[in-house]
Amino acid sequence: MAILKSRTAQIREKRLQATGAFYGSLLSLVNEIKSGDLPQRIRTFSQDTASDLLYALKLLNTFKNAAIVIHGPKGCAAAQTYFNAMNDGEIKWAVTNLNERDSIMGSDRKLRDTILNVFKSFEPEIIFVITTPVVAINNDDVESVVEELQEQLNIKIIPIYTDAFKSKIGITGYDLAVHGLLKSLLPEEETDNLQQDFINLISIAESQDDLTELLRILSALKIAVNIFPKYASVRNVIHSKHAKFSIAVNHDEAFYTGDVLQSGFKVPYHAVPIPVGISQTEEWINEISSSIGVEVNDFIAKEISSVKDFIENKKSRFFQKKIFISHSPSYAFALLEILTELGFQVVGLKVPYIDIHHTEKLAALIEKYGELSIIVGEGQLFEEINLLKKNKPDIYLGHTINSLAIAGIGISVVDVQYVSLMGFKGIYHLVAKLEKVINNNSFQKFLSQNKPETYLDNWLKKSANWHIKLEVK
Amino acid sequence: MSIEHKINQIAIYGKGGIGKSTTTSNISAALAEAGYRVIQIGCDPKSDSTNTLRGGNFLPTVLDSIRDGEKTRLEDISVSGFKGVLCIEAGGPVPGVGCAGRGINAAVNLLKDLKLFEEFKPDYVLYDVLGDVVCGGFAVPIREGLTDRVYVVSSSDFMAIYAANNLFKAITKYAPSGGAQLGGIIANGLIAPYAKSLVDDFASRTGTKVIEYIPRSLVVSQSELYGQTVIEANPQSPHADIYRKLARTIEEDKSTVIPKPLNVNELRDWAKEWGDQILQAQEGIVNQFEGI
Repeated sequence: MAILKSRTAQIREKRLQATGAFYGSLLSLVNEIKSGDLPQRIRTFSQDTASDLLYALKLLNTFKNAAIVIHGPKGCAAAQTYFNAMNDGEIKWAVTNLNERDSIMGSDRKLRDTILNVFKSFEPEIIFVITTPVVAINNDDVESVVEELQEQLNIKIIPIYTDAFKSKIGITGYDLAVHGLLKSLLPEEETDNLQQDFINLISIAESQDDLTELLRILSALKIAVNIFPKYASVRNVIHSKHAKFSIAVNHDEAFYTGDVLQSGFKVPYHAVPIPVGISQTEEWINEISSSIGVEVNDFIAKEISSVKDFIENKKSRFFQKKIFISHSPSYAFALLEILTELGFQVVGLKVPYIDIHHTEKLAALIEKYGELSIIVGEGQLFEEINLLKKNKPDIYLGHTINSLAIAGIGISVVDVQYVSLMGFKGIYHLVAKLEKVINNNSFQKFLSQNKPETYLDNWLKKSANWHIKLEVK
Repeated sequence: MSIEHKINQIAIYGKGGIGKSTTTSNISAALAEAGYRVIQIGCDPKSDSTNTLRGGNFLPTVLDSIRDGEKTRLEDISVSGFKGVLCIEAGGPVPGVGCAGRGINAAVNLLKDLKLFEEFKPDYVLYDVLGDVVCGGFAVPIREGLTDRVYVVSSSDFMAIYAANNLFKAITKYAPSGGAQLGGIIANGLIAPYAKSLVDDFASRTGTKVIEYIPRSLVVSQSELYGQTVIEANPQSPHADIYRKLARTIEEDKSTVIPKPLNVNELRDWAKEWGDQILQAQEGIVNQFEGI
């Protein structure tokens, strides 16, 4: 159980050669990856970006019967207010509210008091202690408090070592959260696991709508599914080691969980493309059905036939419309193919990061899309607006907080943050959103005529990669 | 005392265990004996800098008061020691937790808030600082113009010289932005016949000077066992006179320099040269090694 022996997960830059700073063509990106070592670039000007802390919170906020202790100054807990709103305030959480005195004298007393208060007030089944930069910089002792109170309170208390600065790749936070969760809830030593008749569906960032569609598809396969760690309980995690195999919804996010279960508990992990778009959804279903020996050709054929008819009917609406895609890598690559099939002309991509897991997919894409521009970076509104002003797409399809500013430059925005693109149903949802902005773009027009420019002209004259530099060591 | 009354603020650094607190306390005692109002502030989490000035009397540290969180008064965190030297210990967290460096920063800020200098009106303030300048917190006394002069206590041991060289690097870094400059090296605990020459040579290579040589002596150990400075316990001893002379030098010679620290390779080569010379001397090879 080598992976879980370490205190926390290794950052993605080291583990997967992930990079969060690049601008160029898909072809040039592939050439760099093929050279064997994706160079780490830095930004000389960088805009706000989500840290690992935020991603860990995003995942753990959905855990059942849990309470969260954010161990840091109260400002570090500001992000939690966003999740409160998302979950109708159901989440039980507290912040240790560290101040200067705690940063000098150590923060263990406040941590102990906060955990005790949280336990007394909410009676959770599990408490997550999420660390912040102040605790990481001071290297404050968290373990001994956790160990002591775990015994005293007889519940699971799990430290999650987010620090918000060691990695520039925000979704490292998912790995840190998963590492803490599995390290605490699964046995330390490999055991003889009694395999049971179900599969693990590893979900890290999916919405309830996403999972509803996937469960609809899986119901055709008549296989029991253990969904975790998102929306999961302690039991789901403990149960996971008895699965026939694990399959990811989104390999980019789920790989770490799958890898831990495979290497430590002999639960095979099946790496498949994300079920977004017709061909990838088909591939995803086939992987599961062939692994469990269930025939679902009729079901798939019927679904695909309906979607293809639907697409055929809509194609003329989108023909030659220019579109820009901003989404996480696996989504972005799947959308690139779907939107092309729908008749769109894709003029650029933006993804928050790229790592070695994308090598194969990128290599397959360059034959058709080699000259397509790609920005790698999370946030970074300036780079995005700069490129959009040059490429002038009709539609911006995005999954980012930049959507509002982009609508302000007169481009129709399809924000898919809360739109499920999963499975066959996802295609219907996507088309409906696209049709809506094509039918009526008066909101963007109004904004562009009335909203001042976000950036000055002399900024926009610079190239989109003006601030992305190779680090000279 | 006029409003323009000049306070001489002096920081004394050096490797741990080199005799920094002993030297600082004896300088404080000698200055107090000469009629000056002196404050000694221990900037070390061990909080034992002023022990020999206050006869081992209990003194809550500045950070103890911050820890308690109650309103702090100057009299809660200071005590009058030998000849009225005002003793203060910055203190720190318990070993293994928190951040001692940030503690020094907070303690110095609290002393400013308590208007220590306006209240006590000292002629001399001596900061006795943990010597390896391990982080920015321990550089606080030489940053932002808090002190005028820095002295470094060093023996002829390589690790003590190494720590002194590191301190020189910190001084060089902060001096251009108003940080303190170096007053000189106090060579302490000298035993070996070559010790004086070695420290002199290091001073010369780094563009600094040695302001006093303090040989190792049982008088110092004995005084400490009595919980007193040499000035108090053995006022007639030659060692007490050495400390008095050192205090006079600090009083009269206010010249400072920005040192030229050796880089890693230079320091290594310099140490090796000395290693060779000492070996030759032990083997009886006669050369122009004037220190022996």
